[in-house]
Amino acid sequence: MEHSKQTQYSSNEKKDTGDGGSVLNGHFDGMVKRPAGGTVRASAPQPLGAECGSHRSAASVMESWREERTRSVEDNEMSLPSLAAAYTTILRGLGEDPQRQGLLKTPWRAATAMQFFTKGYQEKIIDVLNDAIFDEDHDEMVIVKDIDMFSMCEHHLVPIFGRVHIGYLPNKRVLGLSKLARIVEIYSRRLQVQERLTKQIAVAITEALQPTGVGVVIEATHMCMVMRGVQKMNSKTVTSTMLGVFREDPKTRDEFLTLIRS
Amino acid sequence: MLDEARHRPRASHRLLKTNRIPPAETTDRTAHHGGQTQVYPAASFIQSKPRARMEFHYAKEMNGTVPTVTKLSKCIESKHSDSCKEEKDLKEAADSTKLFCIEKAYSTILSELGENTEREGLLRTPLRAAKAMQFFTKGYKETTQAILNDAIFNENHDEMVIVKDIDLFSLCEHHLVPFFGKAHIAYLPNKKVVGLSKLARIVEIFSRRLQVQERLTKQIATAISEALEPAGVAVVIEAVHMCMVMRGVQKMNAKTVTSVMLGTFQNDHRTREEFLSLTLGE
Repeated sequence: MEHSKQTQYSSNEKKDTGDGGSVLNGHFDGMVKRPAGGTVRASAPQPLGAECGSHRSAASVMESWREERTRSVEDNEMSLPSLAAAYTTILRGLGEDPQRQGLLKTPWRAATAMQFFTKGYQEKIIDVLNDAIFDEDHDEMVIVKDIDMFSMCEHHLVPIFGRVHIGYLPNKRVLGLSKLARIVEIYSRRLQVQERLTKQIAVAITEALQPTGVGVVIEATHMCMVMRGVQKMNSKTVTSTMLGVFREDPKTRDEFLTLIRS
Repeated sequence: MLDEARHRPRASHRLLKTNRIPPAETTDRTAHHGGQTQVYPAASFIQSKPRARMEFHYAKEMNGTVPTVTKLSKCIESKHSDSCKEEKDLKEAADSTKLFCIEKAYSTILSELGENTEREGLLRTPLRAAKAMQFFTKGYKETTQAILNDAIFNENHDEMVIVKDIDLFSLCEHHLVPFFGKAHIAYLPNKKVVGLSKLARIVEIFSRRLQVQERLTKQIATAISEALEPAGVAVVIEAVHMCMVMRGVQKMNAKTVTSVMLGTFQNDHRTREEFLSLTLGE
């Protein structure tokens, strides 16, 4: 059964050499044959989707709902010394003196900070959402907007920050409002690409609630563009994912976009 | 209340007058190295070549290693002799070795964070991150003298000159996370004015380092003071620190404002008020 699914997906997929199939950042996405985290600890039995080869089909993105954590709190403590050593090397490589007073504990602080910025790898959607799905006879649009979002660019390891606007049309089931923000937190606190982040949030909500439709819009500033490279101070990147009726019905989509702008 | 605060003796003011490292600061540094005595070469160099004095004074403030600066300033002064070229080649080789070390460190970081370093999006990330980090700390290699030399002009102007809203990006030296904001600079010329973009370039030199906002403000003010010998210099920086916004206490809207007032800006409260109302008090 699994194999027939696999052939169906791979025949439908266009071969992408671009962003690759890595919708599951933090896991290897099936493109690599060696076990995940070869240098690293225990962790993840491979998620189901990973065996199916490279694909960007909705199914593999949906798998993220069930994904295992790649990191635990104990892992954090164990990797702190090597992270700190790496940061000390970086400081020396930049020409700084790691022994001067202001930098004495910087490797540890930077390591802890980086672990915080990637704490999304330690968390699972299912833990965050389990209790807060309610049966409610409501089928009008629910929007939570202006959710502050902080992420890390996976290409330059430099912050991305911005706002997320989420809307969904419930189908007898509604979600605790703060849980939408928590879903944003789980996926944003990782090494990300804004397009993938948007899709992961949308898919997680879809998987959790099976709503009639979901819309996610993210507008963010990328420090990799502002602080370096092309150095455009005021540029913003906007990405959106529309699923279900938000994609099919332009009026619903317009209503959502108008409400998040107001 | 502002006046009383301003009349406290300022370390930066002392530096202006004596042009030496005050004893208190040296002791302070050595005390913090847990038994290891760090001798900062800058102290002994200050008495040597007078022309290079400005350079080495900055070196004390340079919060980086001094020898690189020494070599660079020699390179600028010489006429590209053979030894200078050899030094340059050696330097380039050293630079690429350093880049490689930083790149390896980033690979380690990625795998220790639980990521899969073989996935497509992360394949060249260590190299990109290393280059980005080098860009963010390029200020260590630049000197004020190098950029200012040509752009100081004799002008009979003694009114306030302000350049405000200079975008500033730096790295917190405690967490290696960016902080960014705006710098506002004013000075009262004393027969010498400087090209306006040079003020922004001075900000760039000192901000593209691992910094503490207080030190950054002082370094900018001191650099302008040393270069132009104006009647007064004022620098105000307001910045947002990602280490406070993205982690820790997580306060989205907090801004940090630091200022340094030298010369007339420090002594005369009306001058100071004029500056503050022109820059901050729209």
